[in-house]
Amino acid sequence: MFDISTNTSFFERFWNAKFIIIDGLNNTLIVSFAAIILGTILGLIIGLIITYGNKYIKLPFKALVDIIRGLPLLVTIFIIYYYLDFILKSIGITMSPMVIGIIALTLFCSAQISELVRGALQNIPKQQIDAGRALGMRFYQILKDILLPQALVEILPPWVNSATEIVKGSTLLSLVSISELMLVGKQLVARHPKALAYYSIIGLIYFTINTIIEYGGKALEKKVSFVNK
Amino acid sequence: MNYHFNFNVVFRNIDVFLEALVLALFLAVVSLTLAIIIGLMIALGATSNHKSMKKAARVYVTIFRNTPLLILVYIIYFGLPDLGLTLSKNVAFIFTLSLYGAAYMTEVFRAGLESIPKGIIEAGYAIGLSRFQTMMDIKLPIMFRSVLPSMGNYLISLFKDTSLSSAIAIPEITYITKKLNVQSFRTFEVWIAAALLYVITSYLMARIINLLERKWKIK
Repeated sequence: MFDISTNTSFFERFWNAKFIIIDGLNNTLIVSFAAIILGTILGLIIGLIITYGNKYIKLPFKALVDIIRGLPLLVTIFIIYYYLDFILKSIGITMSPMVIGIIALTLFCSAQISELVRGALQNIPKQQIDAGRALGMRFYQILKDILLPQALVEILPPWVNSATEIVKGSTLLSLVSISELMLVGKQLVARHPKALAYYSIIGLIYFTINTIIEYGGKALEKKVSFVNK
Repeated sequence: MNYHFNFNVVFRNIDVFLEALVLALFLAVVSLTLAIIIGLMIALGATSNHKSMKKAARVYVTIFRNTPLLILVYIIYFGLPDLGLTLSKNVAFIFTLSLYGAAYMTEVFRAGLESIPKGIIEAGYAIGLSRFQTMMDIKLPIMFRSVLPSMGNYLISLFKDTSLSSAIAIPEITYITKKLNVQSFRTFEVWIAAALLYVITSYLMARIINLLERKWKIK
C-alpha cells in the first residue's frame, strides 16, 4: 500500500540495498574492533595503574572508571559527541563522527577492561610478587613473567563478553547519526516501511557477529588454558 | 574557548528531571521483576533433565544475549505492528527489557541452582518432601540468597539500559535531557545534570543492595 513502485518485492528492494548494508556493516566492524583493541590496551594500562599505582596517581583514574561505569553507554556517547565536538571546534579541529564514536566506545570498553584487570591482578596471591622480588626480578619482569600471564588468561572469558557488549553498544551510535549498520537499517525502513523484516535481518547480522566472537573466544580459551596447564 | 556555565535551566527543570528519574526506575523495577519470573522458569528448564528444554533454554539465552537491545526494541515497537500487534511505548519497552533481562537472569539462576550441593536436595527427598516442596523450601531459598549480589548488579544495569527507551520517545532521563538541550542550548549543563543523576542513582542502588546482602547473609 505504501509502496510507491508497486511491483518491487521486499527481497528485490533488499537486494538493491546490499551495498548500503555492506557499507554500514563495514563501519560497524571498524568502529567495534577499533574500540575493542584500543579499549583493551587502555584498559590494561588503567587497570595496572589502579592496582599498583600510588595513591595520588590512581585517584583520577579510579574516578573516571567509576563515572563511566555508572553512566549508561548512551549518555557517555551523547556527552562525548557534544563535548568533544564543542571543544575541538573551539580550537579549530573537526573530527569525523566515526572517530568520535570510536572514542566514546573506547572509553566505555577501557572502563570495563580495567575493572577486569584489577580484579584478576588482585586475585593473584601477594606472595608471588614477594617470590619474584626475592629472586631479584624488577617490577617490570614480575609483571611480564608472573602477573600478566595469569591475569590475562583469567580475564579472557569476561573479555569476550565485553567484546560482544561493544558490538551491541555500537548500535547506539546510530542515535547520534553515525552511519553504521543500525542507522542503515533505520534509513531502509524510512524508505520502505517493512520494519519487522528489515530490523530482523539487521538483528540477525549482529547476532551472527556476536556468535562468531563468542565461539572464537571459547576456542581461544581452550587453547590458552591448555598451554597454561 | 569561552563558555559561561549557567545551571539555571537545570534548577528550573529539577521536577522534570526527578519525574524522569522515577519513570526510569519504574521501567527498570518492573522489567527486573518480569525478567526474574521469566528467567526463573527458563533456568528451571535449563537445569531439568529434559534434553529439549535444556536446548530451548540455551537457544533463548544465546539469541537475547547476542542481539543488541536497541534492535530488539525496534523489532518489538516498530516491527510487531506489521503482524497486527501494536503495543504502547511503555509496554513495548518493558516487554523488550524483560525478555532481554530474562536471558541474563537465566544464566544467574542456572549458576545459582547448580551450585546447591546435591546432598541437601537428596536430604529433602529423604525426609519425604515432594519435588515441588523441595524446590519451594530448599532449592529456591538457597539459590535466591546466593544470587542476590548479581541480581542487584542487573537491576543497576537494567536501570542504565532504560536510557535506550529515549529512542522510542519515552520521557525518561536521557530523552528529557536531549529535549532540554535542544530547547535551551545549555548542552554542558543539562548533560552534566543527567550524568550526575545516573551516577548518583546507580551508586545509591549499589549501597542499598550491599546493605540487603549483609542483612540476608547466611550466618
